[in-house]
Amino acid sequence: MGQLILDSGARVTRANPAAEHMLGRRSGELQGLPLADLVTAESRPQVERAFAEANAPGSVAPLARVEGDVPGGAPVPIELVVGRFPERGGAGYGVILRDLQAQEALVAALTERGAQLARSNRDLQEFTYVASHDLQEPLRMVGSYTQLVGERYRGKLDPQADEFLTFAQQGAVRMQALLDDLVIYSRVDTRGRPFGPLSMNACVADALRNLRLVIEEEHGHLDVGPLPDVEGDPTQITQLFQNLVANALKFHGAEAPRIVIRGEPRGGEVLYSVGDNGIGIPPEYREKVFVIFQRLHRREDYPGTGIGLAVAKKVVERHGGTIWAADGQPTGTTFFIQLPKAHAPPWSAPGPAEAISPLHAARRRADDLIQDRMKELV
Amino acid sequence: MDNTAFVAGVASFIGAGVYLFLGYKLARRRVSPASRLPAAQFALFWLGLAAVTSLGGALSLIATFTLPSDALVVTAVHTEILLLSAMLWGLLGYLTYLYTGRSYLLFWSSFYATFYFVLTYVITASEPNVVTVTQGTVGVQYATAFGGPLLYVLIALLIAPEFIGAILYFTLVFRARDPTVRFRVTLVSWSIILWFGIATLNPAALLGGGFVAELVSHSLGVGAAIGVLIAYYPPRWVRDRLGVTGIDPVRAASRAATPR
Repeated sequence: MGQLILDSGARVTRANPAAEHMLGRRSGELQGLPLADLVTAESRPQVERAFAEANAPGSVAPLARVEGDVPGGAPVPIELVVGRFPERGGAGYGVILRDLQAQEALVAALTERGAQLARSNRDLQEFTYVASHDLQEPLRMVGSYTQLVGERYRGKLDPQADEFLTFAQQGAVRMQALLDDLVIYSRVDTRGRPFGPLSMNACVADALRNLRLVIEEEHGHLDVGPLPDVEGDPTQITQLFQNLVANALKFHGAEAPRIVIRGEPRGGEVLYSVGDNGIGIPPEYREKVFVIFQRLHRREDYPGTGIGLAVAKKVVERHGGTIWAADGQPTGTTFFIQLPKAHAPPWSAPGPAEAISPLHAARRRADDLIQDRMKELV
Repeated sequence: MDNTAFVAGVASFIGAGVYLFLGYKLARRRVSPASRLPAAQFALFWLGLAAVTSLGGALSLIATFTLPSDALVVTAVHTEILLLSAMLWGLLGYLTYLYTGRSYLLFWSSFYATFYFVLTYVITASEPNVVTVTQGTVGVQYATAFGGPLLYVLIALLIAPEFIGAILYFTLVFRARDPTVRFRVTLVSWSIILWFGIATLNPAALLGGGFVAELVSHSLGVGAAIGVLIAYYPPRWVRDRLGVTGIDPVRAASRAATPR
C-alpha cells in the first residue's frame, strides 16, 4: 500500500517505498512533485475531483481509479483515496495508493476463462446437436435394412442368427431413442424462447392434459394446489412438470399413484414441489438421477432412456433455478423446484448456440421445425 | 351395356379403395398433440377423395345399365361439392401447417365455407335439368348456362390453391433430410397434381375421346392412386434400392420406448 503526504499545494513532501515503487521512482524522486504530474493526463480530472471532494467540509473522498504515469513504462492502474488534514501554515493531504495491476490481471484472466468456458459450452452444444442430427440418417438406414434382413431371412438361418437379428434390431431401436432424447436435451438451450410472464397453473394443466391417457391407465390421482406464477418459457415449464408427473406415474409402487403439486412464494423466489407415493429414490442416487441417460432400474422393469429428469434439470437451470429430490411424505419422492419469480437470467435471451449467429440459429430452428413436422406428418 | 361407363366405374372404385385405405391408415397414425389437427385434415383429404371418387364411380356403374335419374345426379353433384370443399379444406390446412407450423384454420374454414355456398348457389341458379353420360362419365346440363368471369374465378379458386399447394409440397423434397420423407413427398405431390390435372383437364377429350382415350385417362387416375399407395407402402425392391421404409418400425418403436 503506497502512502504519500502532500503539502497544501498538493506536492509530495513524503512518500513511502511502496508508493515510489508503484510509480516507478527511485528513493526521494517523488519529493516536491505535484500529484497531478504523477498520473496520466487522462486521469487528472479524477485526481482534481478527489481533491475537491477532500476539501469539501465534512465529506470523505471516494476511491478513485487512476493511471499512474511511470517514466519509461506503461501506465499503472492505481486506486487512490485523498484525505485532508491540518498542517502548520495551511492544510496538508494524505494519499493512499493501491496497485490494481494484480487485481485487474486476475479479473482479465477470469473474464478470459469465462469466455473460454462459454465457447467450450457452445461448442459442446453444437457438437451434441449436430452429432445427434447427423447420426439419425445412417441409423435409420441401419434400422430399416436390419428390418428388411429380418423380414426376408428370419427362420431361414439358424436360430442363433435369428437371435442376433433381434439384438441388432433392438439395438437400432434403442439407439434411435437415445438420439431422439439427445436432440430433446440439446434443444432446451438451442430452442429456448425468451422469458415472459406465465401462468403456472395453465402450464401444469397443459402438462396433465398431455398425460391424460397415462393418468387414466395408471389410475393416477392428482392434487394440484394454487401455484404462484413466475417468468419463464411456458413450453419448457410445461415440459418440466410433464416429465416430473410422468416419472411419478411410471415409478409407482403397489398402490395407484397419488401426486401432489404445490407452490409457495419465498421472497423473490417460488418453491414448487411435486410429491408422489412411488417407490422412492435412495439418498445416494438423488444427484445421479439428474444425469442424462442415468437409470436406477433395469429397462425390463421400467422402460425409458433416463432423459426425463436430465431435461427437467436443464430447464430449471436455464430459468436460473434449482431442482432437487427429497423423501416423500410419508413415502415416495418429492421433487422441489426453486425458481426466481421475475428476473432476466443469464440464459434467458438467445441461448449460447444463437450467440454464434442469430440468422444461422433462426434458420436452423426453422429448418428443425419443418423437419420435425415432415417426419411426423408426411 | 355401356362399356366405357363400366370401365370408368371400376377404375373409380379401384382408386377410391386405395384412397379409403390410406385415409384410414393415416387417420390412425399416432402423432403429437400439436399435430393432431393437421394429421386429421390430411386423413380427411384422402377419405374425402375416396368418397368423391366412389360417388363418381357409382354413377358410372349405374350408367352402365341405365340412365340415372335427374334427382339422383343433382343430389350427387351437391354432395360432391360438399365433399370437395371438405377435402380441400383438409389438404390446404395440412399443407400450410407443414410449411408454417400453423393451420390457418379460420382463414381456410371461411374460404371453403364461402366456396361451398357460392358453388351451391351457382349450381342451383343454373338449374340442372338434363343428365348426360359422356364417355362413361355422368354429368348434367344446365337450363341457364352459367358463364362469364365469375365462372373463371370459381374454377381458379378450385384449382389454384391445390396446384400451388401440391407444388409447394413437392419443394419439401429439397429440404427433407430423411430419404423416406423425400420419397413420400415426391410421390404424393405428383399424385395430387395428377389427380387434379385429370379432374380439370379431361385428358380423354384431349386424346380425342373414344374408349381407348377413356381407358388411358382412367388408368392415369388409378396410377395416381397407386403412386400414393407406393409412397406409404413401398414394394420390397424400392425399399432395398432406396433405403426407404413404409410405416417405419424403427421410428415407431423408438417413439414407444422414449420416456413420457
